Amino acid sequence: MIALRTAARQLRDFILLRFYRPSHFRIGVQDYFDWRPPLSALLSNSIHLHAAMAWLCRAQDANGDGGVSARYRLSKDWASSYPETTGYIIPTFFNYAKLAEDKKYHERALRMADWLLAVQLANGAFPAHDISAPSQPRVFNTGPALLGLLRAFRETQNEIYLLAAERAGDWLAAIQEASGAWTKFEYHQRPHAYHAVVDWPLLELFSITKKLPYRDAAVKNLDWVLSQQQPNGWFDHCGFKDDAAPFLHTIAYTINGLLEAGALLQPDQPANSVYVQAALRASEALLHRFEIRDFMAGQFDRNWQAPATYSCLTGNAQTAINWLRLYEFTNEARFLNGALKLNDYVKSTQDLKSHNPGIRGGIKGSQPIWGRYIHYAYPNWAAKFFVDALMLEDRLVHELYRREGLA
Amino acid sequence: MNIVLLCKSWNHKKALEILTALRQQSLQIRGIVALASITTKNSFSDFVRKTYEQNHHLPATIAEYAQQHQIEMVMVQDLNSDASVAALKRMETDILLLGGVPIIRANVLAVPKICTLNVHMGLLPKFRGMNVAEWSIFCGEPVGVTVHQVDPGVDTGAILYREIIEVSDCANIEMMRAKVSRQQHQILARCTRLFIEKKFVPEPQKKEGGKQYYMMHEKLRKVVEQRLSKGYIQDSLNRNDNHTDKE
Repeated sequence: MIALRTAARQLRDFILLRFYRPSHFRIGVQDYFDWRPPLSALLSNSIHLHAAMAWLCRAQDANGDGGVSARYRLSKDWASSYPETTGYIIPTFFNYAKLAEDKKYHERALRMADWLLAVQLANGAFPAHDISAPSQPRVFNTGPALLGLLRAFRETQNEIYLLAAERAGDWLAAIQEASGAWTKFEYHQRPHAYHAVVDWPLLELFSITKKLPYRDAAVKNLDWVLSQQQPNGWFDHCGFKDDAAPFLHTIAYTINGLLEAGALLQPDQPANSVYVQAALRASEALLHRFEIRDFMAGQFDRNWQAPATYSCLTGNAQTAINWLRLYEFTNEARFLNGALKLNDYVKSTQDLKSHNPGIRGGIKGSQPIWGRYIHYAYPNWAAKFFVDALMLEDRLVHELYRREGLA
Repeated sequence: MNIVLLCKSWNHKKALEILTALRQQSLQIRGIVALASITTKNSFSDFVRKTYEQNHHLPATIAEYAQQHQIEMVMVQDLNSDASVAALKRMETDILLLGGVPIIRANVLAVPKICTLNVHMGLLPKFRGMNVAEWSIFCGEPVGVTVHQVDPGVDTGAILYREIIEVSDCANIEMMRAKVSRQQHQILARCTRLFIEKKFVPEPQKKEGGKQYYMMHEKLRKVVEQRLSKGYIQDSLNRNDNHTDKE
């Protein structure tokens, strides 16, 4: 009876996830056997980078509204556009436009920013989820949108983006609690340590407007995040829910927010910032876990034990960025070393040959694709962080090689 | 004094070098506990490894050495197993020497009556972990070796002796590792004798005194290769902080 039920479930999944499509079937087989190219066979970063950017362009074109589709799903193709992630994809496109010296990416970034203006809520917030869902204001989702608007303003000096950013910043500052946390308008009505990644754009907003409430709100929240840190580097409340083992994705957000906020508050000596120091403690723990296992698990518990046997590829790319930034701030080459390995791993999972435009160049939520984080899909933020990680790696390795006379 | 060597039965060049160096120091070995060849899940890998071993007479060599010098040798499937512990106890181990083995657990480390000694291819406490000779060069520090007592941490046991090794004549990583490896076994044997003669006072390490390093990525190895190819000149500041060798 049990065998029959299992078989029925597998048949249902096979049909729902459309594994009868050759491109889907191929991914399923590759991941089942963990067929990935050996490190020696990996291609140059620029090839992987270009493929991921091409995927992001297809994701933007999928809905025709200027926003970027949240994900390609094995079950239903492209999803609706997603304000939160479209927001932080904007800086990625501006950066790539400069790297590739191709205005096309600059224009695409501006289309994204214009779409954000169109979906901003009346109170200044940005909605949760993709735009197919009801428009609930959400603290976390407002942060990345703010980042995109500010970058659009810096690139164009068009006040319309700055005004929208200020409305978003005003809303964030107005609804903040006395403790510094945000609970209302949040996922599961809980405070989250990963709101550190909202503090970073608030500090960016302060650096442009010099309006103190933005800085105060950011610092207040950052201090609340620091109060959540345990002696072993772990942050309480760093998951979506207060579950036992948060995804690497949200742990990496927390670290990323602290790093960028620390760098903005102490630009001359970011390594001395208490926020960067806190990020360093958590990163040391992660680096050790990753290196001794030669594998980055998709979830960790508060003792940094990793129950997961799958990898959260988004989290891997985010962690690579965090470690590269730590290398930049502290000159600690063990972080550069770890980041290079993480980037290699994500590169080894990227399909460059698929005929399916939703798969070719995209980055899966999990490796294997049925892992718990965004399973059976290619989220746009995985590709975005992967692109950011490779661009940062290339820059830092190039600088290192130049100093050594190798470039 | 019962000295026992813990090693692998394949790819055991290190173990043979240690055994030879110990003889040169007139030290008698009570026994050898060796890890038997691993059977992997991949039968093709197994086949390749076994063929290599047979062609190079590897499994026989260490056994031949033991037989030739009348040293008791015990093969175990896992160096941290009960069988390994039982063999060490039966040999009434006073000092256990490690000859290129994976991490040894507390149950094994608890057996020797005096201690377990290891030679580490880096200057402790600063450089713990893996590829530390390469990391030393990457960080612009001297390359060297450390003889230390082994505790359950990674390269955190009390230090007996450190020695800087000149590598400016090594044109690449392979040559450097070969040079350091050759010298470190001589140093381990000499230190073992001096330790038995109570000429060393082990100095405990501070945890915060160093960092753990991991396998170096190819892109960073390129930097190390570049520095070696230009003749790596070591930092002279750290040259006089060795422990005193009272010999």
